[in-house]
Order: sequence, then C-alpha cells, then structure tokens
Amino acid sequence: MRFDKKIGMLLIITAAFLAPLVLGSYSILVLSEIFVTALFALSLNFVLGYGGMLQFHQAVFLGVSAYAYALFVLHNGSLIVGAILGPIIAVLFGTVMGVFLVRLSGIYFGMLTLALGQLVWAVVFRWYSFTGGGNGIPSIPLPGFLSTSTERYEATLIIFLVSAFLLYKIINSPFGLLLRATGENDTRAESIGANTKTIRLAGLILSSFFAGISGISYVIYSQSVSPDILYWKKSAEILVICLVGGIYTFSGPIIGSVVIVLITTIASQYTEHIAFILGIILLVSVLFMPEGIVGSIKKRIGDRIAADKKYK
Amino acid sequence: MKLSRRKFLKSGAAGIAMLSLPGVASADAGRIKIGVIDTYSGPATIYTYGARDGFKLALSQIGYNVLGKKIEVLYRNSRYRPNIALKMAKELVLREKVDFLIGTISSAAALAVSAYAKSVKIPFFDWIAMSSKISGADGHRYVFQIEVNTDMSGKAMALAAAKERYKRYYIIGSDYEYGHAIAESFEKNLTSLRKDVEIIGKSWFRVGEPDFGPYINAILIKKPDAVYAATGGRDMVPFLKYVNFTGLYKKTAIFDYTATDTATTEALGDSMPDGIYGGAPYYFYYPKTNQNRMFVQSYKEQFKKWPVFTSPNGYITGNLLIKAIKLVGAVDKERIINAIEGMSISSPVGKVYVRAYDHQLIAPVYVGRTKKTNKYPFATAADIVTIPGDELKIPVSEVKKERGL
Amino acid sequence: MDLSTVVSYLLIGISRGMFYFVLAAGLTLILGVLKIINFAHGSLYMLGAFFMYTLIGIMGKGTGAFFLSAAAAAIAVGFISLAIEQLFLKHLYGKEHLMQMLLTYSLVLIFGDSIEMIWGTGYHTVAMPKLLTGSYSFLGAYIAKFYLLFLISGLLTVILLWLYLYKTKLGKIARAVATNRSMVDALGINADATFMYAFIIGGILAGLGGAIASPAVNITSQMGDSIIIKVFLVVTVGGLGNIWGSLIAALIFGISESFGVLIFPRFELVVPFVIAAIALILRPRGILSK
Repeated sequence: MRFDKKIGMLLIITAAFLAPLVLGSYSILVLSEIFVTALFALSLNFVLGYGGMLQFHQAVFLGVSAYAYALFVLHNGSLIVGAILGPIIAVLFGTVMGVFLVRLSGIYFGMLTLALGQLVWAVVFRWYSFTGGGNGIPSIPLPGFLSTSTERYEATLIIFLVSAFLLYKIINSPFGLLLRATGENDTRAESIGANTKTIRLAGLILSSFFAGISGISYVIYSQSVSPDILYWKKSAEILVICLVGGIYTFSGPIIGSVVIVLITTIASQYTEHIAFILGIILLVSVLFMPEGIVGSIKKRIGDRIAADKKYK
Repeated sequence: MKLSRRKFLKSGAAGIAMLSLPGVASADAGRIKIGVIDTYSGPATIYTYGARDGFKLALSQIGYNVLGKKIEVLYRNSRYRPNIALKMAKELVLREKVDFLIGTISSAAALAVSAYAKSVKIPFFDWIAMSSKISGADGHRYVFQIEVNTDMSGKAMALAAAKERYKRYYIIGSDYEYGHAIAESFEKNLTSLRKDVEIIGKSWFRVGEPDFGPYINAILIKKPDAVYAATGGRDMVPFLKYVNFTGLYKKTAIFDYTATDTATTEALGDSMPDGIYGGAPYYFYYPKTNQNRMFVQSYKEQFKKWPVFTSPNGYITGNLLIKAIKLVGAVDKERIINAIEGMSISSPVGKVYVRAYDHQLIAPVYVGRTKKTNKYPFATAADIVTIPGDELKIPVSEVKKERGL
Repeated sequence: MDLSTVVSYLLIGISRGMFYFVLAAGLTLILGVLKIINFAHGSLYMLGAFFMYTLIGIMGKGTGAFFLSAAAAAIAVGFISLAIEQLFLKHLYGKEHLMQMLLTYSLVLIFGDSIEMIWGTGYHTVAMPKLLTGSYSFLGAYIAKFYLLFLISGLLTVILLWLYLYKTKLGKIARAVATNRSMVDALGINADATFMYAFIIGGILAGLGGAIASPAVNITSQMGDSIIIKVFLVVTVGGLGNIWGSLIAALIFGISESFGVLIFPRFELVVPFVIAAIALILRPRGILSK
C-alpha cells in the first residue's frame, strides 16, 4: 500500500513535468494557474483546517508579496532579490497582524483578519503614485530563465511541489501536531503545557510565508498585478476552494483547486454567469458534502472498510 | 486510498482533455478570428454593449466575410477585472488562435491586455478605455486606441469652459487614473487659456462611493462659480443623482465629460439635472449628417436601442479592420498594422483617422448642455459645439516625451 | 473650519451612521441569536433596492408611493429571508461557524447573478421623492434633505427593535438565547421559532436599508459587495450580537467618515478599517464589553 502510493505520486509528478511535451500552451497555462491556486489554498488551510483559525483574508499575503516583487523590480531592483523580498514582506505582514490576531478567537479573529486585510487593500488601492492604484502594474519583468511559457510552467510546478512537500512535513512534525491540538481544542493543548498563543502565531507566520511564495508564483504565472488580488472576494474564493476540496485533509485544497479552476475556466467560455455556478456548487457542498470531495471519499472508503470488517 | 487517487487522476485527465479538445482548431486558413474581451455583466454594460453592437453592425454590413474568408468573433466577459481580462486574452490567443484582440472598458484591463498583446505580437484595439497611457506612455506597435483619450477630452472641456465667464473652479473626481488624468488635462488647458481662472479646491472620492453628501457639502461651502466633475463610468450616474437632489446644479455651473451622453441621461431619466455642461465623441442626434442618420437607422433596426457614445467606436474599429485587411489582401498582421497607421475612414462623426505615430484615433468631441425636451424620455445635449479632432490632439513631441524618448 | 461646517458634517455623519445602523442592527441580531455571520445580508440589502425599483414602477413617483414601496420592499425581503432560513440555514444549526458562513456566501454568489438574469444588467434608477430633494441651509452651511430619510429610518429601527426585544415575549427569549443558550434549552423553550423570527427581522431591516438607499446609490448587482464588509466591522466593533453597541459603533463610523472627507479626503477609504482595527485591538470583544 505504501509502496503503491509512492509510485503513484512519482508517476503523477513525472507526468506533470512532461506535460508541456503533450499539451497545448493554453492547457499548460491553466495547469500553472492550478499550481498557483493550490499552493495558495494549502497555505490557507494550514491555519484554517489544521490551526482552526478563521482566516478570512489570506489574499493579503499573496498580494503584498506579488506587489513587493513587482514594485522592487520596477524600481530597478534585482529580480532574484525581489523574489526573495516578496515572501519576507508577506511574513512581516503576517507577524504584525498575527501579534494582534492571536489575542482573539472565533468570529472576532475572523473579523479582525477582514479589517486588517481590507486596510491593506485600501492603501494599495488608494496609493496611486506608488502602487498604480486601480490600474495595478500591467507588465512585470521576469528573469531571463523564465522567458518561455514552458519555463514558467515548470517554475510554478517546482515551487508548488517543494512548498507542498515542506507544508506536509511541517504538518506531520511535532509542531504540526501542536498546531492541530490548538485548532481542535485550546484548553486541551494548554493542559499539555503548550503556549497556544505562540503556536498559533507561529502557524500564522508560516502560513503567510507560504502565501507569499504563492504570490511570487502568481507573478510568474500572470506577469501582472492589480488590487483585485488582495480584495476580500479573492480570499472568499480561496475559502470556497478549500471547502469544496475538504478542509480536514492535506490534499483537499489541491483537489479543490483542480476542480474549481477547471470549472471556471471551461464555463467562462460558455456563460457569463460563473458566480451562479460556483454558488450552486458551494451550496451543495455545504449542505451535502461538508467534508469536501477528498473528505467524503475518504469517509466512504473508511465506511466500507469498517463494514467489511463487521461482516467478516 | 487507491480509489481516490485513481478517481483524481481520471478526473484531472478528463478536465485537461476538455481544455485542449475544442481548442485544437489551429490557425484556420479560411477564417479570420477576432477575440473581444469586455465587461458584459453589471452596470458597465450600458457602454460595453454600445461598442459591441457598433462592431456587430460593421461586420454584418459585409456579411461577416472579407477576402472570401469568414469572420468569426469570440466574446468573453472579463467582469471589469484586469486579471480575468488577461487570462481571457491568453485563452483567446493560445487556445482559439485569434488574429486580433479587441476590448475593454477598464483602463486597467486594457493596459494589461495591451502588454500581453505586445509580447505575442497580436494587434489589440482598445475601443472604450480612455487612459492616455494606452497610446501614450505605454503605447507600442501592437496597440490602437480607437477612442478619444483623456488628454483630448479634458482639453475639449477646457476649450468650452474658457468661453464662459466662470473664474473660480472646484475640481472633484473619481480617485483613479481616469479621474486624475482628465481633470489634469482640463486644469492645464483651461489655466493656460485663461490666466484669470483659479482652482479653489479639489477633492477625490473613491470609485463606487455610496454617499456623495459630504463631498457636495465641501463644494457648497467653498461657493465656486463652476465645478469640474471628473466622474468615471461607475460614479457618473450616482454623482449626478446627488447633484440633482441636493440642488447643487442651481448654485454652481457643472462640467462633466460624458454627462450629456445618451447612456448617462437614459440611466438617470427624470433625475438628470438640466444645464450640465457635458461632452461626448458622439450623439445619435448629432452631427445631423446623412451618414449619422443612416447609422442610427440601421443600428436601431438591428438592436432596438439608441446608439451611445461607444457605438461609433465599435463601428470604426470594425471598418478599420475590414479596410486594412482588404488593402493588404491577406491576414498579415504586420502589414495590416502598417496599413492602419495613418488610415482615415468615414464614420458617423465624419472623417476620422488613426495617427501613424501613436495609433491614437483623432476624432471630434461635441460639447453641449443637458436639457429635457418632449422629444425623448431622457435629457439630450443642447447648444452643441463641435471641437475638431485636430484641435484636440496632443503633439507627437509630447507623446515622445511621455514614452521617455 | 467654522462652527456651521462642523455642524453640517456632524449631521451628515449622524445620518450616515443611522443608515449603517439599519443594516448593522439586522446583522447583529442574527449574530446574537443564531450565532451566524450572514454574508447574504448584503444581498438582501441589494434585493431591497431592486424590489423598490420594481414597486416604484408599479406605484408611481409620488412621495406617498415612495414610502409605501419602501415598506413593501422591506417586507418582501422578509419573506425571502424566511425562505432562506427554512430551506437552508435550518439544516446547519449546531454545525460549525465556517459552514454556516460559507452557506450564506454561496447565496451571495447566487443572488448576484440571479438579479442580473431577472432585472438585466445596467443601471436602475429610483427617483428621489420631491419632498426630499433640495438642501436646508443654515448659518452658511448646508445639509441635503435626503439625509432625513436615513435619520428617520434609523430612529424608527431603534424604537421598533427596543419594543421587540424588551416588550414582546419572542424578543425576550431572543435576548435570553443570545446571552445564555443552554439555559433557554434547559427551560424547554422552543428556540426554532425564535431563530426564524430573528432571521426574518434581520432580513426586513436589510431590505429597508436597500429601499431607502435606492434613490441615492447605483442599483446594481454589486451594490452589496462593499457595504457588507463595512457593516461587518460595525457589528464587530459594537460587540457581536450587541445591538446598542452596534448603534454606537455605527455612529462612530458615520461621523468619522464624514469628517474624514473634510479633513483628509484622499484617505477616507481607509478610515473605517483603521477604526475597526484599533477598536478590535484595544477592546477585542466590542466597545461595550467589560
């Protein structure tokens, strides 16, 4: 079983790397979008699903990182330094916000994420002379080794794989277990002698770091930024993706990204009412499949195994 | 465990297959493909439908056929979001292999699509967005601005204002590029034409501001002779509502580009205040030429509504493309671009041309004042003054300066 | 800045605050009683405006027709709320906050597009009734008559909510549910009806907000998007579920925004978020918390 799983993963990864040989350039672009979205969703689910924190405005970290890169590069900064600067800025925002956020819990926590996040959006939107305001930055230079669409695709793929691997390791580390414990039950985590505030803060910082990485990945994919990427609706979209995929599993947000990106991409060629379609999907998921796609598949398999055992 | 992975693989493969399947239609020799990206939901449609319908009219007049090739147009809704517009531009170019791109009402989206069009060498026609960056600072070989830009429209309003006796002006506008750019052009031109004019105050509200009350109060307190309102598409209608029900228009003169446009006056109906100075590159009732009358007649027959100021832009874009393709005799993009540079064309607003250097459409602006009559259920422009395009165009030397040349 | 300017901006701020309160009151009532963050509150506000547009079309443009239509629009939105509660929310009581919240968010997506399918894209205009056009002027300052509408609706909401919460049995139960849920359950009181009525009243208030805003704003399928976040912040700063806290918070928001326009207009947009952030950092459980 273990062996089989590893081979399966290797096959998928190899196929992903070789995809540009078979698929057209547009399919490659959509796959890139899936990788960017999936990493962003994973960074949210790290605090939402595992840390149990109602982070309603994750897009801020993707946004500030993407803007940091774009603005640094436009002011003649080095491209590589810009790419490193992005996640650092995201972590900076994550730390400052996190210090205040961890004092709150539940809905209050969620509301403060919204207030602080919208504050950042409002400043980016209004600070016309620095950020380009509503126009955003329509054309952002990339390093020479990312000049073809295949190179950009492979870059988003590698960033996704490495980050997903790291996140997986963190979640299954002793720290990950502590984070999950605080997510499930504050008092229990405290009773085993853990400082829940510090753990939650560390969780938020790590999450903002990975969201920052996804911001760089986003720039590689899109080569432009606009304030839309840190508006609250962007955060809501990613919440929907996590939920549809399943927030209590590691792969849920990845599957959610695949499903939602594919649906919006295909549907937008035929209809102007994508929001309606997404709304129905979300409604049905919440009512009938609150564990998400991955969660309910796992549950069904679990049930079957349990049933098999019963009849033996 | 096994099942979930297999299922995942299958669904992923199916999805990717769906993406690539219908798109494989490679550059078809017998077809000309045009991709149109614009906001086709929400209130912006009062303008975007106009451009689209003008374009449809131009194409239907030649039966969607040129050089024996069928013209196929693909429309995409970018929902006013630049990142979606960009994704759709990529989809149209990479998957549908379109030969030309057209769009959009949002300057942000137009700039993003323009940058992409440049990188893939596909000609892009901006037909509504007015940012003068599009043909100015960010202009390039592959972008055409088939719309009077903010530098030109601000100047048109300044020329009209200079003839009036007002001296103390207050400037208010939507806080984004359009608002700032048109107000700047208005101020620069007016103060150089009239040394006695002073600007006594300025304020900027955010795009989509729900309550203009405090802003209007600020104006009332300053008691200006006239107000220049640089309201963008989204703020135009609600701002004029406030002007109407607070009675601001009775206390001061108001200048607001496109306030006289049919899309605006139709949306406001009875709530449109009288006597607002507005300008537009076109009215369906002006100019009173045979050509315009014929355009309006066939437009109304086909779409059952009056053309708005964006309608001729769509019509001109369509006809420019057709004329250039015919002239070149092939769908050779580089030669088509060369052909359009400097090309002039007859249109509902008379002869207009595309300036060779910056690909900017040079066309007139009509300035008038709103007036409710019994002829239509909405206000129209009265006392219209025509300001020819050649009086409005920005010197090439200035465009060069903007581009850092 | 002279006194008359200050007074006129204060009046505008109070009116604006009262308008926020009409929306916030419904939201915080639902939060307090049902413990649900209702994202669809913005959609109900939008529906109120669209119903208003249709009703004015039927009833005509007089001042009387305006007020009748506003009342009818609010009640119609109340029925929509009833349907939402009975069809969807009911099944999620006792589930996680996140699920309930995402359910209401799915309604935001569905309503936004449905409205375009029903009413079409573009602008929809509701004319301001004659009685409310023009401005009052005093001591060289001005205030638009239209603000009276916000002031009166806000005051009406205060009075009616007070009557409901303190003078009716349902309201008293609602207050009890908001403060101590388990005790109410232990007493064997059926909370379901309380939930339903609280949700309907919340909806009616959202609809009323949309109806009174309709002559002043863009009536579009996106009109709920930005207002909902602001109202969320009002409710949070006021203390979740605390109606009088919301009233104070709404007034703080309205007045500071109004003076924000006067003092630093370029950053007026930032004002509500700054207030909310500071308030939540200093008083994380709302301004009236102990």
